[in-house]
Amino acid sequence: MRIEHWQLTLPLRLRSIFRRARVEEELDEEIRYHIDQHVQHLVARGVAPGEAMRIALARFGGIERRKDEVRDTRAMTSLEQLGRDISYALRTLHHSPIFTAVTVLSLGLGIGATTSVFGVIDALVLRRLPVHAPDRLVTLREMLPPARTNDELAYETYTRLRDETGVLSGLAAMNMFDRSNIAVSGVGAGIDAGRARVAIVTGNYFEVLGATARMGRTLSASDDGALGKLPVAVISDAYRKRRLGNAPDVVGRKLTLNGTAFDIVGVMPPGFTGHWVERPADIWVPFAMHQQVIVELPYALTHRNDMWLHLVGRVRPGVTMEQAQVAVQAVYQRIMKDWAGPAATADELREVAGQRLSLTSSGHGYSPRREALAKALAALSMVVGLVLLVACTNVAVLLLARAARREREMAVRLAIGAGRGRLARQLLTESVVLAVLGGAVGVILSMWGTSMLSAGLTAGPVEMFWGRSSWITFDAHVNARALAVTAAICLTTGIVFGLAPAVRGARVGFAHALTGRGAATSAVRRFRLGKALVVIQVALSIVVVMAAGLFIRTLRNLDRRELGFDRNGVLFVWTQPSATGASPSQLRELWRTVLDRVSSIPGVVAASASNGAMLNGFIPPVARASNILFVKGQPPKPTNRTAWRTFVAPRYFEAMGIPLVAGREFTERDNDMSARTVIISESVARHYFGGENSVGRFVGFGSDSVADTEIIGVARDVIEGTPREGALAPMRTYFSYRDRESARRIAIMMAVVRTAGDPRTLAARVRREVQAASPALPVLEVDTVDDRLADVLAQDRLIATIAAFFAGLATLLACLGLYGVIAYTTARRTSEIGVRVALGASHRRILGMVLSEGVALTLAGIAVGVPIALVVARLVSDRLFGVTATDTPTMVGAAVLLLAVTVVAALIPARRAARVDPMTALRANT
Amino acid sequence: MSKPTDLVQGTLDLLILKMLALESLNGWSISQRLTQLSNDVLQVSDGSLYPALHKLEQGGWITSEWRPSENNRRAKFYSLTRLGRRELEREKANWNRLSAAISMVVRLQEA
Repeated sequence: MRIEHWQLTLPLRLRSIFRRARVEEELDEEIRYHIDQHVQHLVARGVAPGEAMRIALARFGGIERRKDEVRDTRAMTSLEQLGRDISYALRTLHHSPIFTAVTVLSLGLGIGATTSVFGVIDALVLRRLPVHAPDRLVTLREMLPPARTNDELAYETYTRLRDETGVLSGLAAMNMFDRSNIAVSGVGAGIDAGRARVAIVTGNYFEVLGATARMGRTLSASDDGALGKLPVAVISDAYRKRRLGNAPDVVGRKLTLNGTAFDIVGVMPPGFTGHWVERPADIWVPFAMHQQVIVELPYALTHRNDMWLHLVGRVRPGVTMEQAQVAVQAVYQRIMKDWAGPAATADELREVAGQRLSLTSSGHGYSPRREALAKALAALSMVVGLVLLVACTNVAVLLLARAARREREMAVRLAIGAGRGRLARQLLTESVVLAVLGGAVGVILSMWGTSMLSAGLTAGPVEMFWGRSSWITFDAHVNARALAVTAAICLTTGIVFGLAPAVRGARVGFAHALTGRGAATSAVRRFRLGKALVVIQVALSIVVVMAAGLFIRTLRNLDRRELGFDRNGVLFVWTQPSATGASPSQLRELWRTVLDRVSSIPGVVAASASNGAMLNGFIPPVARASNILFVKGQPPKPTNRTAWRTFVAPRYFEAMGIPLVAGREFTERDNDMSARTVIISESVARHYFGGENSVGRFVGFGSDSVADTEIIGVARDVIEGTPREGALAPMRTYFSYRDRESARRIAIMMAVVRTAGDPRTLAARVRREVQAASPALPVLEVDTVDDRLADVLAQDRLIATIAAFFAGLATLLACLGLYGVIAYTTARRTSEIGVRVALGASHRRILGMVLSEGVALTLAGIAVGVPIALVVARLVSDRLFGVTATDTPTMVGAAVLLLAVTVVAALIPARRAARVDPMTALRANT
Repeated sequence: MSKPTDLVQGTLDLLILKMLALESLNGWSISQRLTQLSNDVLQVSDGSLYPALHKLEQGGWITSEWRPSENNRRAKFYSLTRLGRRELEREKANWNRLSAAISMVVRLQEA
């Protein structure tokens, strides 16, 4: 019976929704028919036509009322009612566009911002590796006193740990290298001159991680064996898509890298790119093939001094992390003691005893960047949380103010017979509509915000240590969970505060709204809540504004820091000679060729090169006391500063614009045949020679038995890594690129080109010339100092930008909230103001009265907010540079700014109040 | 003519259903018939007829269609559905029970 019921009624209901006009017409026609028939009937009985019409109409009852009753019967269907409520809600919102815009925007911004940040945090911090039992994975890190850590261990350490520790069910080693010029056989292949990330892994890597291939097989322990004898490779799905056009028959093809052909034996499933979170691997090859990958090295990296492997392991089931830690540490200590040897001194033994090998749970993957960003992300989440709060309070204030304004309307509607439930339903619908609109805006903003944040986080310096992989990819997309949670928060706020007037009305009744009496007291009483909310908003705003001020000043300080070399008119060209497969001796000639070609470009003043990277963001770790060099005829003098050894071509200091305070530059004659020469930096000279002349003196390094290196020049100190270097700036020694120890070191080359005019105009030409000098030489980047700084300071800039954005947002929201409250209270006090004006108060006094209310709220907010701001500033103090966390000018500036802005916001209702005409005010009895 | 008695909404439904059980009618005809058949006792206020008709239609007990009436003018004719027929039986049974109970009370001997 039910189905039949619906069969009959559903078409009817749909029709009344979608064909409303037609349905109304029909009703009209039906009633007219009735009336006409009645008239006819009466006329047939002898009644005059005019009289007949009157009688018929009278007998019928009010036509419009009857139509309404008919409509009401239709409105019994809840779907129709909902539709009607929604359209009514939209209409009322349309009538208050500013309110709607502000509320929707507040909600949208709150949702969008929080979701974006949370999405990024999830991608970086919370996402788990797509492997089996990720909680059991650990990465190993050396902790060396006093405060150094080292993630890269030697092969010998690895094998011994693997064999002698029982607590790990498997231990694998890996590292990644950027390679280019990779050729793949088969359809749609060819040579790819772009970069691919090649991971060198021990055979058990995939087994330890617990990952299986989607096509073919993964590498296994059987792929470990004699060096150079197992040319197999596994590729990632992303690489297959990117380079091989998503071809399905990839397994079995040949991949040629540096002249060696590898058999592709497997493809990993999409989403698996190794355990290094922000460095997805494209190709995995067995450890046995590492020399074929790192051709620039003349020997296998199996010596205990070659520390280059990241270790990842799986803890045996049933073993706790603590037990595993203890066991691994014991083995590690044994290894270190063995290496110290039987002739170890007490000091050395003590040092060894202080070293630890720590296990870090890596269910979320290995991510040095995550650690670096941890504080920044925490600060960001706090800021965003605050803004969400501000947005919600703003919405609450606006809704309350609006509800208070609509008291009259509610009262009237109740008086003419609308049901309480109906009213509540209407208000609820309005709130939900607002919330949904806000949510839609929020979704759009969160998509935009997520991509903006991801871009900001991937920007950053490129590390350039012998070809190791450095560029970072970041895959964050809009996080559904975050979206749901924040949307729920915002929508709840909207709904709760939207319903507040209905709830209140149910308790108190709306009679006062109609009479106009008692309005002041109850309304003002309620608006204490509104005022409290505004105070909170202002407090939160000042926290964010102050944080923004600190970050902006930090950025400026960093950007303007004197770097020690001439910033203008210079280009840095980053290349990777190691990728050409040149032998160490060929590398020197490569340098020479490239520099000769570049020097010959018209407009180039000087061209040189170094094997270091300029402004790559690298902050040297705290070193332990060591001897950088020893001076002939003097006792050793250790120092805590890191020593930086750079190999440079002739005219380096001229090209860089680094003043030489004494001595000369290298020439081609300073090579491995002649006497060894060195140029030292000022800080080295000061440390070892005090104020005396050091040019011409002889020094020795490291394992030299005799001090036979002549100091030929002293250069000014420079900041090379990042403007944040500060007191930890390394002490530098420079050697010629043809020095006897340069062979292994000049595998990376950063050419420095000083130009006469704007360096950007020559960038393309320089790139061409470098490429022409050696076609196989990958030119990674050609940058000016500003480009480099932009990269290095990318995160600081991002943080400053975001903070400034949120500061502006929070302030705007606070102003709007304040406006709403002041406008409401002055509207309520219109009659009071009228009385005052009538009694002689000047316009200025009224203005002052209202303004002082606004200023009082702002000052209260600032008073509440400043202590919070100080606490927050302390939390982010280690990101600051050149400003302290309690910087007074910033705080005062923030307070003044907020005060000024809120005064403007309060000015509008204040001026309106001051212009109140006493007569109209007194007549209106609201 | 005596004043038409006020009808409870529920009985109006019953009357309409019964009318339509006999034949399809439009609103005007229903009102005429009711007056005729009851010897002018039942005079439905014309206006309250239409809300009742529409409500019955919403409930699925009657359907409507537009047809030319006797004077060739288009009018909305209602007819009873199968569901409506069942509802009619139910209402009739209710009415009989109600009126029997009332009669019983009224016939009680006054002291």
